[in-house]
Amino acid sequence: MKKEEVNNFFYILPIILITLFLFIFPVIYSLYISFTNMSLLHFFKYSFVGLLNYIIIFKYGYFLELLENTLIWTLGSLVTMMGLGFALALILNIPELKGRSVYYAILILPWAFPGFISILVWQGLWVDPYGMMNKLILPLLHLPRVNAMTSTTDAWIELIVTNDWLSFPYFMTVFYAALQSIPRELYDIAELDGAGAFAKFVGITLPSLKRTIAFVFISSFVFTWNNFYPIYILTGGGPGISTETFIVYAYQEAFSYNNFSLAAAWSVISTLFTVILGIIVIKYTHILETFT
Amino acid sequence: MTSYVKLENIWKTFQEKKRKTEVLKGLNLDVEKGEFVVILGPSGEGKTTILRIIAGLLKQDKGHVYLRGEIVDDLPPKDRNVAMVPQNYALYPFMSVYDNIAFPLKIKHTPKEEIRKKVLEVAKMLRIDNLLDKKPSQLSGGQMQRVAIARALVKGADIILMDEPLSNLDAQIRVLAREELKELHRELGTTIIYVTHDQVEALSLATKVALLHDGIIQAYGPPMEVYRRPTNAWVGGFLGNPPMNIVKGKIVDGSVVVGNYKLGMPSDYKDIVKDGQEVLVGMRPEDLEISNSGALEGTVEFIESLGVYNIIHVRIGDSVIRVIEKTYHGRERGEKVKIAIDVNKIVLFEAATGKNLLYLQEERK
Amino acid sequence: MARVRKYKIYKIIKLAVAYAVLTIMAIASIFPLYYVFMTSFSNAPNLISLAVSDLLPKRLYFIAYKELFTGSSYGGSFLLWLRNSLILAGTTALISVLLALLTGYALSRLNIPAKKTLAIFIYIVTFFPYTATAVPLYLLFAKFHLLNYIGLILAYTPGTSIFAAFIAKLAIDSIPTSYEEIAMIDGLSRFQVFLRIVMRLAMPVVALTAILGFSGAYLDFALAYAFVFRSAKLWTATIGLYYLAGLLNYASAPAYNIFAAGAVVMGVPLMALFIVSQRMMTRAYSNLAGVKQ
Repeated sequence: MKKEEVNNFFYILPIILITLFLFIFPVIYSLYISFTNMSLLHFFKYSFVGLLNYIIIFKYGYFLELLENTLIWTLGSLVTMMGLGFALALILNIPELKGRSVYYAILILPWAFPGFISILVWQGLWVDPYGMMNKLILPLLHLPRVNAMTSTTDAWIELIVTNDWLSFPYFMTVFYAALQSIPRELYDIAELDGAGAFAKFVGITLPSLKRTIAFVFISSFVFTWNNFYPIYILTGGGPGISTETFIVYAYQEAFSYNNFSLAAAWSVISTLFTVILGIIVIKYTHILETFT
Repeated sequence: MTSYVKLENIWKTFQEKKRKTEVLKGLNLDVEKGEFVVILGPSGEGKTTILRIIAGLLKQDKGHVYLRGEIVDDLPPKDRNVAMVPQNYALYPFMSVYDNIAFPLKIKHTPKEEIRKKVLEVAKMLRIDNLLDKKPSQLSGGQMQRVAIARALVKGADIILMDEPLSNLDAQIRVLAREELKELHRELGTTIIYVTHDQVEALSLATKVALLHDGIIQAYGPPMEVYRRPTNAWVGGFLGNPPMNIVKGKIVDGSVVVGNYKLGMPSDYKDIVKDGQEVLVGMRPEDLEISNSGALEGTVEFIESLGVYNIIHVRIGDSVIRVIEKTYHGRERGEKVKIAIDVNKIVLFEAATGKNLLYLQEERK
Repeated sequence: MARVRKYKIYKIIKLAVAYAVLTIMAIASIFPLYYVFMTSFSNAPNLISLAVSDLLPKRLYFIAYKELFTGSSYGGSFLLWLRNSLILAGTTALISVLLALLTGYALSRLNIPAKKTLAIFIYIVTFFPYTATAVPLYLLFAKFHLLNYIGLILAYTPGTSIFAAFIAKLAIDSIPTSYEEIAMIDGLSRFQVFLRIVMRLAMPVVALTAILGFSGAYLDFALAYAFVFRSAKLWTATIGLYYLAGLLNYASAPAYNIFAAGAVVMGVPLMALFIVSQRMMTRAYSNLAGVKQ
């Protein structure tokens, strides 16, 4: 390599080192730990136990339940968040709408306000029977009480509604921008040809947004899969383990029960899923092309 | 007559993905101290590359660069003591005009009072001393250009590189700026290497013009010499507006013959040409005249009236010859005319290579 | 004629539904924030005593804020935790900016071997949010005695830096090289040019990275909790808020209005920061899309 190239390499070195030490090494290290019996008891002197942890997970652990939960959480959240965001984007896109910027500014607030703090607030809102949801809102809407401590369905409702509140502005913004970029002329010509609202939607709007919807869906899928805070704070995985997802369970294994090796095994499994999903995103969206 | 800036056998190839472009192919250039050399050529052929190599921003693949008689191939830009005025002026938007001009001196840790003295001196010279507190965004194009030149002058480098500094200016301002630049060179006597694709600029500013095409310097010399005695057909055709007429011809019986027309023999070439030799005949539109005693015959195909003069396009066989007429003669399309030439102003080029036969002769010596 | 009237009625219904939905969603969006705001100005010590009437109070109580800033628990206080968080977030922002700009500059200007594979490699890595690496990082850092603020800063920086590095690269791509070339001719080394010229010219990206880095570190709970929970003096504001919400220990939970005050104090500035960063992002993106000045 020429002298200039070697010199230039130093500019890139920091980020490579950081990526290596803060992403790659930890994952490899936890892979290693997952093959040991490290825990509170065996913190400094732990021994190699091979695939024991994995056997525990798959045979006696809750692998299938957690997988099911993670899927419910991810898909349930995604479909509702995207649907809500999309609907609002369509509404905001109506040309004759007045006060658009005011509405938009208010609707953006759940996204603007820090998520972690919002979730803490929501935790207080959902408490049964003292939180505002059960005290005021739900009775106002003639809806039944929600108690996440006793009912799994209620727990899921709580989680998904909160997640929807937190996330719909993002989808609304993305979809609104995408809708705005569809040239007006396409609709004008369709109108002249006699197309009704439904035909315009199915024939023009949906196809134009196909790429955006796909990209957003896939990248949000990965994000929601790993979304820790709502579940950890609102239900803690309960009742029982009925709302535990991989990432929350792994965290609790490590920091509530100090079963570090088991936690490591769980995070290895979860990471594997994330990597596979990540590769799918890259392959599908060709996002790397913008960077080269 | 020692050279002050010398480029020796410079080669440079650019590689983008899978495509290689050879930009400079063994280029040679020799600039003496105090000269105003203009490198003229079509866009995209490597003019800026040459400047970059002289400055040290780019390293040549093969060949050597000499500054003030010493080889500087491995010297970084900051040690070469050259100054540069880039095409977009590159004035730092976050600094005032004063700070922009002072910047090179600040880097050299020049004491504050000396900086102030030098900046004011240069600013006065370029008549921008009233703009020192302004920011670049508040300046007009012409003012920005002068600030850029001031910045290049302030560190007292005796070699200044300029990359098309006038191309971003309005046409009228450009004319004024050109005059000022020429005046500046006369006053300071610095060596200037200036790059442009505009031949009017080149011909009016330069003490020597270097024509760049196909990776090498095709012609190098004082503007009028390069104009009157082009080294090859490309140079002849590039300089001049409208460009030189170049048509195929043959030497028959000691005379230049184009098509069926006998033109005579220019005195410079009399002893060089051989009968039967195939040549390219170069005739400048301003050396041609439409008159009844003309040797060439053709039909008027097109007329351009440009106020100062008219360009008459005359079709002869399968070529079109352009003639400049200063006075208005009311020519019409389809009119049959005869073109007269001052035989001694004709330039002959070797048909195969395009080289001016005169220079071929000198090469052989 | 009937067709036209039918069309007009359809339009009116469409707009009515639209406004209805928007208004409902707007109320839903504001409600939790309004609620926490009002709670912070109430004097309700817990959720039980928080009445609906507190949402439309007759008077505002400032006692929650007073308690927030003067009280102390387990040897720490909210002010202390805030200070910790600010230091943490500020340092992370600084390092993120340097790292992101440096990398972005390199990716844009310099000829680096295997640039493409590097880009792919680094991009994959951005799919691991903080919480996914919480457990592995904890284990690794435990080994190296890095379970402290230095460890946290190290843990936070990559996340922002990598994403920001790519934005920086795109931004630097659009800065003409002549600025740097002229500075190098005048005598600056490439690194000095980077620090003094390029960083100034790329100010919007610098600001954006700083904001992203700051918010990311300021709002993290998972890593902070794992790393520094052991001593209340080391807590960050997020851990403090978690404690104030009564989630740490149900029995000894502090007054709820104090929590609300803490939520407001932490949340409002960040909300403002978010809005600013959104504006910057859209401006950065439209610059990249070829909208030249």
